Amino acid sequence: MLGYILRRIVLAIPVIIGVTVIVFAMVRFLPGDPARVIAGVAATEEEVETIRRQLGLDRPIWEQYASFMWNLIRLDLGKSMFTGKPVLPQLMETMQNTFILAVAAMAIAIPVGIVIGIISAINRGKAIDQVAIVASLFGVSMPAFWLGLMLILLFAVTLRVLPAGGIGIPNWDPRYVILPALTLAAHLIGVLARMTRSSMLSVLGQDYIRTARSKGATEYTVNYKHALRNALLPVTTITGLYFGYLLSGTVLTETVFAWPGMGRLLVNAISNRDYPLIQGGVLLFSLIFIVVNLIVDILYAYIDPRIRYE
Amino acid sequence: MVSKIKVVATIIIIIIAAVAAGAIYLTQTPISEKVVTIVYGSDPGTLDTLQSHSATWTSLFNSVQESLLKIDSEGNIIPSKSLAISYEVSPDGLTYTFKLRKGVKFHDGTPFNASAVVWSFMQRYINKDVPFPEGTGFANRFDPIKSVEAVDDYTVKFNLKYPYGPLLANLASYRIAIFSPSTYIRAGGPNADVPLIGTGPFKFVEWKLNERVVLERNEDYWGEKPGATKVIINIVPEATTRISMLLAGDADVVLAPPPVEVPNLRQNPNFVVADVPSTRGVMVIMNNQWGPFKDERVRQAVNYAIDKEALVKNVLQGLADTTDSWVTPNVFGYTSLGKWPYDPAKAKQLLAEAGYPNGFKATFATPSGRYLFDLQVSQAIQAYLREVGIDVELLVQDWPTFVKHLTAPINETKMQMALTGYGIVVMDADGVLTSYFGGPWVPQGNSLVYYGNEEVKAMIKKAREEPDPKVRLQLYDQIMRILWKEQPQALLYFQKNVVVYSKNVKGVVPSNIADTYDITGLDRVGG
Repeated sequence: MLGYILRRIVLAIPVIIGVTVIVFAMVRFLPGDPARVIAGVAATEEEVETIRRQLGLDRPIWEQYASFMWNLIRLDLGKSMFTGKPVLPQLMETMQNTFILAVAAMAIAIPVGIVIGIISAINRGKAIDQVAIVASLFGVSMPAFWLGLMLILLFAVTLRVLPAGGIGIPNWDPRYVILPALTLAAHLIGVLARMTRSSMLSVLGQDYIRTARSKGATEYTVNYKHALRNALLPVTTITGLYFGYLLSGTVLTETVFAWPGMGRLLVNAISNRDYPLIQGGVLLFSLIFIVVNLIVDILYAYIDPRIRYE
Repeated sequence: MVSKIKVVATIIIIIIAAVAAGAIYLTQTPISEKVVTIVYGSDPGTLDTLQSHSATWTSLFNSVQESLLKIDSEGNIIPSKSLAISYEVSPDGLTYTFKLRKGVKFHDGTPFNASAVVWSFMQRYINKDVPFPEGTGFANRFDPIKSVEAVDDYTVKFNLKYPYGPLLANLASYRIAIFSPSTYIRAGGPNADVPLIGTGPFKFVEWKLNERVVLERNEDYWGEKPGATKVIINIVPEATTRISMLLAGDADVVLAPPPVEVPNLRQNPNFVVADVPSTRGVMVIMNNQWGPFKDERVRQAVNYAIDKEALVKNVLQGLADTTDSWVTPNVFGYTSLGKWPYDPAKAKQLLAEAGYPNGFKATFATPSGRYLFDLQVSQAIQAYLREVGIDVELLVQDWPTFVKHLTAPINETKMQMALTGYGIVVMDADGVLTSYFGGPWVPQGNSLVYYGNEEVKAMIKKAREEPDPKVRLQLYDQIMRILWKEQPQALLYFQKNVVVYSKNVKGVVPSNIADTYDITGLDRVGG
């Protein structure tokens, strides 16, 4: 098991190096020049040149890449071209906000989504199943900005029980996370419910379930001990990937609820052509995906012992 | 099993108790505190007001970092509210001497005196330790100043290269604040993480990127202190959420509310909507050196073809004013030139005279989300131009692409037409005229339209260097008349500055300068 994890970590290194190359080249292929954006439309060429020099953008691209990599090894992601603040602490602070939101959304979505899926599968074809299918379809197809605004109108403007936006003062107040987390959870609940349902149904149709039934196991034991455990495998994958996706920021939800998360940070960085911040952010996302994939694989091994021996 | 349930129950109870305690703690505010919460759509981006692209944030920060002079809405200097209590101009117009207010301290404890003023101007504005960004039109604003020197601790002298009419207007601009040298130097100079330090009625507390900015009252302020003890400016990108926060009581003030919401808010007795005409002009620029636009008749036709009144009424919900001049009436140099009416027949006739009876094709670049309803305005213009035979292809570009598109040298540029805007920051016609017509073309200068009339350029320079305000006014009248006829760019309207706030708040004043607000008198009056 340990060897398996180590091997996976070593394999991640070339992936990360590849990511740095791609990101580095990609931001520089975008049309537009950060020095010009900083200086503005009305700036003179001379001023733009000064800024370019200050930012090191006048050096050859391989030299810029070399110094980026050298700094990266020392965990220095550089300074934002706009705010002048170091990138790494900024990413960490924003990531913390995104993490809180992602965990809250997952905490709501996983139990609710899976329970709906199970109930729906066990009661296949009955009215409750039909309702669950329609509800999960609703959850999957509802755009975040619409649902978010509706929740704000109901809970903040009409009922006045929850704040409309922001992250809470002085630092963070749990009431502020509820509405954005619900908005994000709605989609995941839909995905998980449908996934769990179909996965449960395919497992319930298999021979060993019939065997379990025929040896006289109770309905509870069949459903929860034998079927669910196996049905959860694909659900785990989806949940893990979704968590990675949530950690890379959810710009629509963050925008609607004024949540200072990774999505807004990166979208702003891209529209400013803030190279160090874009590079740092994308690098962080790739790290997150690598780590999340690793955790999913380990969970797999835990749920399905066969994987451990391969 | 029982123990498991117990553990879970205990955890749940602890969580509920913690949340409840937190909620009670958070909702308690000391009675003496008067907190005002403002919401605004975008982040300041930087605390260095010299590098800021945001007029709105810079004007809010002007309550922390004050300018040397303060002017009223008519442009008169108010000595009782200014850091400089009096000034004298030498007869040749080459030296301005200012007496400074005594006993004023920066928030970091540094005394405000002649050396702080000299340092701010010499280090930052004249020697430009950072290049100034767009919109501020700063690039050449301080060129006429030869030096700034301290005569004694509280007297400062500005020596000019030539008489420079707009000097006082510049010194009064919210953009031109006096910095605390010691904090700036300690932090490491330009491009460093310098905190916002000034002499103003509010002190800077914190800035969290994409989240909020917090200010608190300066209890040692030299002038009249504001009623509010704390100002929280939340950054809320979604306009609907900003309005929801106001309706829900989570915010007291919404700067620049979305126009579609304004009619409803006006009906609501709990809120006040204040709007004033501002100097944020929006215009269609044309490459004066390209194909059809070389002919002034074609450029005139473009203006005739666009129904500006309808744009203002239907797209902007009346939150703009069509214009009869290059600047608004409160700007020095204003002269009424008569509005360009909507006359598509005349436009067609002019196009035919210029040799384009069947119109022509052009590209039209537009940003999206930069100016009030910019994309919608561009789409409307596209439809108007099609009516007279000008078939424009809209290029919707993100800001960096747009900026690149607009700043290419003449032999490389692909810019034919574009929607862009200018904000008059200093209440003097010199800034806009020098930037857009008088100076060199992009990228060396700021003339986005590649303006070519050398005679007019010389007149703009002459007006700038003329010390007699009466003569300057005459010159501006002549210059603007020629430019109005030539139509190097079609100015559509000036946007209004709008703010909506709860009845419990007062002292948030939209200013007549583009996108700026004055919060120095902020107070909470109840609730």
